[in-house]
Amino acid sequence: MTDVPGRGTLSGVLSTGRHRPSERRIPAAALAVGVAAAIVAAAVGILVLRDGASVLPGVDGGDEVPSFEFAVGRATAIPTTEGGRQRFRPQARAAARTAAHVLSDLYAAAFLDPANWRAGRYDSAWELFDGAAQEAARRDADVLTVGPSLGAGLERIEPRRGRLSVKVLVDEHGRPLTIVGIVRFSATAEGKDGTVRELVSAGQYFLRRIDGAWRVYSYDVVREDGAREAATATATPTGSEP
Amino acid sequence: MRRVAAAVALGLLAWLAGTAVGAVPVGAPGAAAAPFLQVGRAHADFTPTLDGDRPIFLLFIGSDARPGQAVEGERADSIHLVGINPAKGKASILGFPRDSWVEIPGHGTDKINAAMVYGGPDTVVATVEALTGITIDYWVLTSFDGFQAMVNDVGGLVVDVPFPMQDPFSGSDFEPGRQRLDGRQALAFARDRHSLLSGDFGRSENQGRLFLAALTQFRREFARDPSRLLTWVAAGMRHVHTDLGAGEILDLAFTAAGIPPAGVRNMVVPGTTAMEGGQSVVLLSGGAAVIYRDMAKDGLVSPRNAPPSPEERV
Repeated sequence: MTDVPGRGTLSGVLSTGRHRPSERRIPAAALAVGVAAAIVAAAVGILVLRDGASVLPGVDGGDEVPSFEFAVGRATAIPTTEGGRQRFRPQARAAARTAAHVLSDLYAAAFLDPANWRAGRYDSAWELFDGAAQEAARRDADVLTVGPSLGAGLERIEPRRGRLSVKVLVDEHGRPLTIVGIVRFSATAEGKDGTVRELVSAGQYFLRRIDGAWRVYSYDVVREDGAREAATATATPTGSEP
Repeated sequence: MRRVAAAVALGLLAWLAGTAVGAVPVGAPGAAAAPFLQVGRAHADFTPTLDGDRPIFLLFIGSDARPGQAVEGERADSIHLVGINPAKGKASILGFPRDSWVEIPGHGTDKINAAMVYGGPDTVVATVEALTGITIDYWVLTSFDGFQAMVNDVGGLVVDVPFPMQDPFSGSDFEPGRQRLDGRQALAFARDRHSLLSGDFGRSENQGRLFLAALTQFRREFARDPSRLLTWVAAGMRHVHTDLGAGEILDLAFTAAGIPPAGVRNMVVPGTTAMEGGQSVVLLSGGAAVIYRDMAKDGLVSPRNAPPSPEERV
């Protein structure tokens, strides 16, 4: 793992003086009206913010899970019989919806649920893994989730992007035998110390139906976080290097 | 009037600014700011390989069937017993020359390739089990066409051709060295025995080389893009007959991803050519029993029991 010091912070831009206030004089009455309007507007903004928790959740450290769903891109059927992929396009789309549902739940539990990342426990994420994969996933929590300790220093996390493409192995009847979800996810995490970090997770998850539910039984995931501030105040994922 | 207008404009601006301040706190996620710089990289993966102590034995059969012929009713042109030791991440490939003169349960003594004509893959399995004392878990059967199509479906195989091969009967025409073979070329490589000093023995070893080439290529592609496993599994399922279920094929594919080619020993049962009833046959060496016993224990053959390469024997 390589830690890269942060660069290009906002404070550096401000110190150059490029945002000097205007020399132009403003009438006192207009200034008073403007200041009053600004105060009212700021108050309205805060009220809107508090009422609209679904838009900006967790700003006050709330426990609401931000809404998140992977956007589904390409869905490809890989048939185990001859006859071409086009024949199974509807099945591929259905499998993509299945994968989107499972993996959206997984990423919500692993990265977005404040109850999980604050405590550093991700039981609701592990439930989506099967057997031996679940044991391995617990060991790989640093990579597959916010992490056991990083969350303690965070104020909130919001999703930025979630893209999913899907490959599905289908039998001669179009039934999915296994689904591979190829994901790229990012979220922004605001630290209690004001630092902002981008949590980035990309990889592949193999899903199969077990006891009527689709579960992850294999994965290959890379975590590549970014930061706007120097990373000294935050932990970094510590999984095994490839 | 102009002052009032200026005050209103300023108020509106302030309102917008104030709303923005309230809605997007400074430094908050989503605010336009400097780009993120990578601060760490970590990788995690899990491949659900089989890990039991018990070895798994598969019998791979190549049928002599031509287009239009029943795959299970023609002679077995190639027969390979593969032992997999999941716990050790190793495997053995043991080829049987197709002219091996053996006991076929219920049908007397005959060439091993006739077993399939007598009773399909189940009889080939019974024959190899009787010969080796090894219980076979699954069989996998393909034809000339199926083999070619399978190779083409994975984009060809990169094979390290060990020596020059030119044979008009099989269509082989290769210089030594690593080269990508398409389905037709791979079949020619598998069928050629005239270019080899050891004939049928060397051909069986070359067929094992194709197993290793496939394993090498599969592992490389899987490491780069795990979803390629689906392409390989689908290529296999499209063109083979087998008693393996889809779930078992997937399990074996993941397991294969964990077996380095260096951990796979490619062997051919030793023997000598002879004449029986006016036909050329292979009499398997009595020493082969040691190989069978060794392989039966854990799917592997120790170096001291492994026979030398057929090309080295001649």
